[in-house]
Amino acid sequence: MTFTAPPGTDIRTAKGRTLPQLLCDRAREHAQKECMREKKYGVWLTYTWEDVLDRIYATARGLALLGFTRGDVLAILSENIVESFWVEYAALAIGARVVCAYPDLTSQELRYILDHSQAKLLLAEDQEQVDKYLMIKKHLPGLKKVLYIDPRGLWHYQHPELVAYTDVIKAGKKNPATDRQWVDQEIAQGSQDDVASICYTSGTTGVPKGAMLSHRFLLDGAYRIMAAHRVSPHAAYLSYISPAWAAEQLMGFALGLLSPLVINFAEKPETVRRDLREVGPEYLLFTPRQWEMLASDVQAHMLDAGFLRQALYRWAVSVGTAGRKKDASFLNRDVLLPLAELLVLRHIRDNLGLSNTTVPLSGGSGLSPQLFELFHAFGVPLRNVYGTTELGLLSSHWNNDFDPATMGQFLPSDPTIGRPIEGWVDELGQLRVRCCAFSGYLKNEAATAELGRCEDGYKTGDAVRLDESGQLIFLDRLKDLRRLRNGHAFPPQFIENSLRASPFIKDVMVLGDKQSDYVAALINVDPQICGRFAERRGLAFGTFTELSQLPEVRAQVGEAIRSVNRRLDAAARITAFATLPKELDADEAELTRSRKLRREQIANRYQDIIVAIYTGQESCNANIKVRYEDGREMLMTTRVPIDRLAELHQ
Amino acid sequence: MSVAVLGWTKLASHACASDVADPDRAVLEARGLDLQFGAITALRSVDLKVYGKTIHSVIGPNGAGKSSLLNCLSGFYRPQAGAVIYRGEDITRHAPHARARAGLARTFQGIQTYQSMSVRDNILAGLHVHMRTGLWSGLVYWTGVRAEEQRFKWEAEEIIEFLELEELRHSLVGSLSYGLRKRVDLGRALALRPNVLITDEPMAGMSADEKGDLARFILDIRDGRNIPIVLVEHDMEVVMDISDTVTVMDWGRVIASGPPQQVRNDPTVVAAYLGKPR
Repeated sequence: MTFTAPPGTDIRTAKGRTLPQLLCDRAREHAQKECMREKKYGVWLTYTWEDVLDRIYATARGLALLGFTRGDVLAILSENIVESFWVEYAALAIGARVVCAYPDLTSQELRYILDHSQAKLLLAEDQEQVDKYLMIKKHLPGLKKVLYIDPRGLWHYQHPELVAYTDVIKAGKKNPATDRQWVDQEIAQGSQDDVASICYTSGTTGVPKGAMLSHRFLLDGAYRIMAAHRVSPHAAYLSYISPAWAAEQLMGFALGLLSPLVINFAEKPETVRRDLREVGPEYLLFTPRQWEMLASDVQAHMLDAGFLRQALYRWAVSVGTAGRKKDASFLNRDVLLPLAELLVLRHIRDNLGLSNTTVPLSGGSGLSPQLFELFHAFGVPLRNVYGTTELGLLSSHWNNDFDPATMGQFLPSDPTIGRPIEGWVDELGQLRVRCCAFSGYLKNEAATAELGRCEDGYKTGDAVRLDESGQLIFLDRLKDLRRLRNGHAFPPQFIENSLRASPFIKDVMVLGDKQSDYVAALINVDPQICGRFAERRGLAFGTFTELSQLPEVRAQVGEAIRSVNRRLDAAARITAFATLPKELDADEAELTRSRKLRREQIANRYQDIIVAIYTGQESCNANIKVRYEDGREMLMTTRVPIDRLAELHQ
Repeated sequence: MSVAVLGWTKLASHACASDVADPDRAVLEARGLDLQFGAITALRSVDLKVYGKTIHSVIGPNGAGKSSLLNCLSGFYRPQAGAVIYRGEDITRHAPHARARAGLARTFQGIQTYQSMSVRDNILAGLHVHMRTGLWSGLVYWTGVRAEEQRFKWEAEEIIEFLELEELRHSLVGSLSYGLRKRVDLGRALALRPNVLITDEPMAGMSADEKGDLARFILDIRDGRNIPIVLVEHDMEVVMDISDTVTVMDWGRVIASGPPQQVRNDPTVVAAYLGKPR
């Protein structure tokens, strides 16, 4: 059965404009209104649309002076800062393409992206990022200039290709070869089908692929969210998710112009929690991991609270859950809920910075239903959003009826851009959709062809169910849905998401395949929560390895697994687990930069433990190669007990 | 946007332009300093020249006279003979607070912060030495007082940003780790708007990571704010890594002085640290 999204009714359509053209329109309409805010020296500085446009024009002229022209590629290696937004808009204004890279990439990962995208210019935020470039510069002959924002530590660098961004702006303003009319002409030449941004996939299944996203694609994606969630004009938005993720290109960059939004930038990544509270954004997109961290933070604080406060918190959460249900009793909805709000819930929202948030979204992989319900109990109307880099945002909870186990319904598209989203489930259980899509993978036609054609429905590669009302239920990646030796299928991602809801568990990898008789799990415990737990009980530990192997910590993990097991078929339940003796680390290629598991790598590194789990051993000696920041490698040998849940029950 | 904020960065670079422009002229100099405590001689004819935009480290075994030298430079001890010359002026007889006002800032081995005050308030306390408005105008809270207060807040925030303490600006110093308290101490010294920063064992008791961070801040103070630094430190790896000049003391005397590589290979220094081979 094919489901079709309703048509978009919001009048703020793209009307054939590109991102820079929309920027000019907005600057004309709202010249003196707030466009961006950044926290500097402890206070919030405001940039009006006119301020921003001035800087973008000057930057565009400065880039032209550096020989940067239409069709060239600009790479950005930076946290979310206001300057990176200006440079990206300026590059788009003169018809260039932009590649954003995660700021915690290693130099070799960066080399692949810069080389593959043939970047001609790099914006590196600070010394750390410039140093990464200098380590690989001999492999990048095509990269001509490197702009930097923060000059600290770069005072003595003698590399002719390094240019301060402030100098680019100054030079741009004085560039005799160009003027504002020149920039206007360049902007006018742009077409919606031009590629604006190249987003590299996380590389969970091999080398990253560069997905080319056009202006049309980005604006349609932004419209889908805006129309479905009725994002109000000039709503406050905190730019926090990395611009290297396509979602921020849709949300911060495209929706920021289409809606428009007031984009806020945190002072530092470490101050985001405090800044979030100060901004009080109305509209917010976090990854499930970030929502989990917020919830963990509340739970960690409650672990430290006294008995009375803990009891009050538990009561308020239970009332918040019961009182917000559609069929809530008069007592719960009209008596107890206002009381819980007054005493507890509104203070939690305030502390989390979510008091004003009307559109809180969770994107990426699925968020566990327990966490979803917890935020709803707090009074935060959290909504799932589902999409892919290649096809944009496809579905979300966007009306009052929603089920935390689903990803919502198909979103309405911009009528001036493309057809409404149509979706169905094929014979393999895979979601197929017809919609406005990306412009293909850069230099990889074979991978582009694998995705299929619009007329036949793009292959998403996701195993889903669509219920009678068109609610999309995400099961797993098609290739990740696994079967045991006895033929029973189990959804590893669902189990992992559910387990991560436990504050004791930071990451988890579910084991089990056609050679296995049962499902098992490798658990990466949360050192902060487990550390506090151990301290409160006077348990001695010195290192993460000791902490992770404490019997009391393993018992807590076992308890969390048992609670998830209750929601699974008997055959899909986790029967054995081990807590990893070291934390999973992106620098050791165990995680991607967006903190997704690199399963093959993990399976290889912890082979000893996996073998012990499936050969019925009680414990094993794990030999793990550890790489330090200075490049040294060491073999860590430690005894890891294997916990079997049947034994724990006894 | 408030342009004043960006303008502040220029204000914050306090080092005298002439100190930076003339590298041959010593900003701070000790000439033949002698210091005795009864029968004990702490310093014997000690000479030291600190030039603009350099890190000048003073090293030596325990009891070599390093801290005594710093105390003479910052005015806590008065030498029996010799002189301390600061930017061409003899300041041997000047009191510590007068030297601080003139731009000689000092941090001590022990932490000298106010534990029950926030990070920002500790740094603001360092700025009070530059307050120009008096008691009466302060009581009335005139425009000038408010403007000065605002200026000091900007300056404190700029130091907080420089030392990457944003996340902790409102935290009580007493609740911070030892390494972070040392960083706040350094921030308070920077609030004195120094022309020379004298710092005594800033890395004592720190972890390797904290030492790395502090070494980076010391380099940034030299390069970004053009402030010469006199550093007493026991961690030889750090000293040799970041110093422009190293002076080695033993039994109250200077036994070697020069670039780190030269000092490292000096046989007198090797003997003082490792003992003479038999």
